[in-house]
This record gives sequence, structure tokens and C-alpha cells, in this order.
Amino acid sequence: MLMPKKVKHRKQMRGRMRGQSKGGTVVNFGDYGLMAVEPGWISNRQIEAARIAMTRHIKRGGKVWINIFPDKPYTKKPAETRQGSGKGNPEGWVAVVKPGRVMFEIAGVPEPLAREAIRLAAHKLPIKCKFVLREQPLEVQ
Amino acid sequence: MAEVKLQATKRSEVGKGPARRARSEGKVPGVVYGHGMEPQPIVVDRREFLTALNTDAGLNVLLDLDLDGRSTLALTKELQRDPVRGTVLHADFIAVSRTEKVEVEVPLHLVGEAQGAKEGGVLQQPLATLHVRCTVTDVPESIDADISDLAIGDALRVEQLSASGGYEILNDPETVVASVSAPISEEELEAMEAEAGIEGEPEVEGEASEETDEAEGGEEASDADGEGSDAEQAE
Repeated sequence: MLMPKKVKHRKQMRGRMRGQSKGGTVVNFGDYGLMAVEPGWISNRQIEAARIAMTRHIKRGGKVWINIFPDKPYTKKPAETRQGSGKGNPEGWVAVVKPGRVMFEIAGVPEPLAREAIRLAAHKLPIKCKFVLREQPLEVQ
Repeated sequence: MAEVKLQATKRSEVGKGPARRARSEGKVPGVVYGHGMEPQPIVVDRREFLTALNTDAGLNVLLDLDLDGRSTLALTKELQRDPVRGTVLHADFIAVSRTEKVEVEVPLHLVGEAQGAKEGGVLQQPLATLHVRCTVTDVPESIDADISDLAIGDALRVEQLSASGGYEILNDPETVVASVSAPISEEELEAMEAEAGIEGEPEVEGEASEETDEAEGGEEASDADGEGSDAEQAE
């Protein structure tokens, strides 16, 4: 499962997720991608579940890229504990994702197969997502 | 190359407020610069601009900007788009002359079906556009790369592309355009799926041993508190 090898501090503050993604908003490596439409925390378990769903669906063909890394620790207090006594214990790792971020990319498979694989992966994530192409068409509104 | 006339007006107010107002009125704020001219903030009609960009030439369409009665030949240098909706937020235009050479990005299309892909290999295209130098009238709409001879393990590089038109490719000749890699085996696929369960604790920089001691102590203390509170509740 994805997690940092070494960290400077065991616990972090939660932070805010305002605005849109500043980088990683285009499909760079593959032909198709999965873009976040909402902000959220994506845990390493969810990333793993999405990756497995995609690789299972495209079977042996194609290649999958993961463009996000869960480098933020999140903490949780034990059940039935009174408030206070400091911050809880580290529970897992999350990637902070803002709208516009391309989280996964796929190459080497036909579009219908990629669409289905990405739909299955999107169901493993806690945020709304959409399917994107390498070249987003310019639509005349 | 296609040449499209585009009506543009000078913009005196700059900044996010006027730019947002322009967008809400169906316009795209932009700037035109280059060829010895001072940068001039302008505004173009969104529908006209997007129609101009929807020709076969794509982003490299030669624009004849009618700037308050004065004609300026320009190329779209950069488009700023909304990352989620994909709408055009701002456009940079660079003034050009017909005789001068320019550097543009041209889409690269793969032609044919790779032999390796037919045998089950995975076709990858790491390079989607080529950096090309040519005169504005010689900009190709796209460059085709024939991949039908690529077997599993082969790669097509920039040096193998034929620059037949009046353009020069500026990318590093060693850059891979397309490659066919072997498909992953069943064992590898199983191994990739199995690696999910591996977990551990990352190393903390600095005083790692002290921190772990503290953490253990803290847990014990919290456990003790928890027991105490349970006992109190029971009473």
C-alpha cells in the first residue's frame, strides 16, 4: 500500500481544501484519465482498491498510472474516549485532492474498455469524478 | 494553413474583476504581444474564437486579428482553461509575420496498427505533440508516424520520423514517440493484486526512538484514563 518511507512529523494538521487544483490537471502519460470534480481526502486503501479494479478490468493489456500519493497522515482517537488528552493516534495515509486533479491514467486499451475501467475505479473513491481524454475538446458554447 | 479573421477590441481595464465581467458577457480576455509591439490587453468574442480554433489546424490556426480597424497576424500562444469545466479563461496571442519562422507544437498522430499490439503487446505514446520550427504558412496540421512495423519491445524515436514538409523538428532525436511493451503475465498481475496488504510504520526523521517511547507511554496513559472513566461510569 502507498505510504511515505520517512516523515518529518508523525501527525499533521487537517488543513482546508479550497479552490481548484493548481497542477496535474491534464492527462500526461496515458490516453484517458480519471479527474476529481470535488475536493476530498483519498486514502491509500481507496487508491489501492481503485487500482486493482482498473487492472482487473483491463486484464493483461494496457498500463495504469497513479498520479496522487498519500503523504498526509490522519489521526483518530480510540472509541469511547473522552475529549482532550491531545491528538489521536495516526490511523492511515491520505492524498489531498482538489477539483481538476487527474488521479489515474490509462493507456493501451480501447476507449470503451478504459471508460468502464475508470467507472469501476471511480466507485471506489469518496468523491465525484469524471472521465477525461488526453486532449479535452474545445466546445463552442 | 488556414487563416481566420477574428474581431478583437482593446481592453483598458485589467485584473480579475474586469476579466470576470468580460467572461460573463460571453467574451474571452487575452493579450497580444511580440514582433516588437507593446503587450496589448484585448478581448475577443468567445463563440467566434472557439469556432476559429475548431478548424483542422486546431490551436495553430493563423488568426488575422482585427484590432480596432488595424489588422495583426497572430498565433494562439497559450490558452488558460478551467481545469474542471474546460472553458477558456484567457488567451495569449503572439504577433507574427508571414516570412518569419516560428516555433509551434504540432499534434502527432500514430498511423497503422503496431505488429506487437496485434500479438498482445501494449502500445504507449509518451509524446503527443512535436515542437516544430517553420514559417507560419508552412505549419502542418498534424504529423503522422507510421507504427505498423513496431514489434513487442520496439520503440519509435523522433529521429525516425520523416520531416517532409517545410518544417524542422526540434525535439531531442532520442525521445521515444511510441513503444510496444510486453503484456504483464498472469503471475505479475496476481503479484500486483496481492501487494495490497503490505503495511508498516514510516520512519520519523530526527529522534525516532524517543518519539516511539513517548507514543507507547501516551497510549498506556490513555488506556489507564479510559479504564478509570469506565469505572466511574459504572459507579
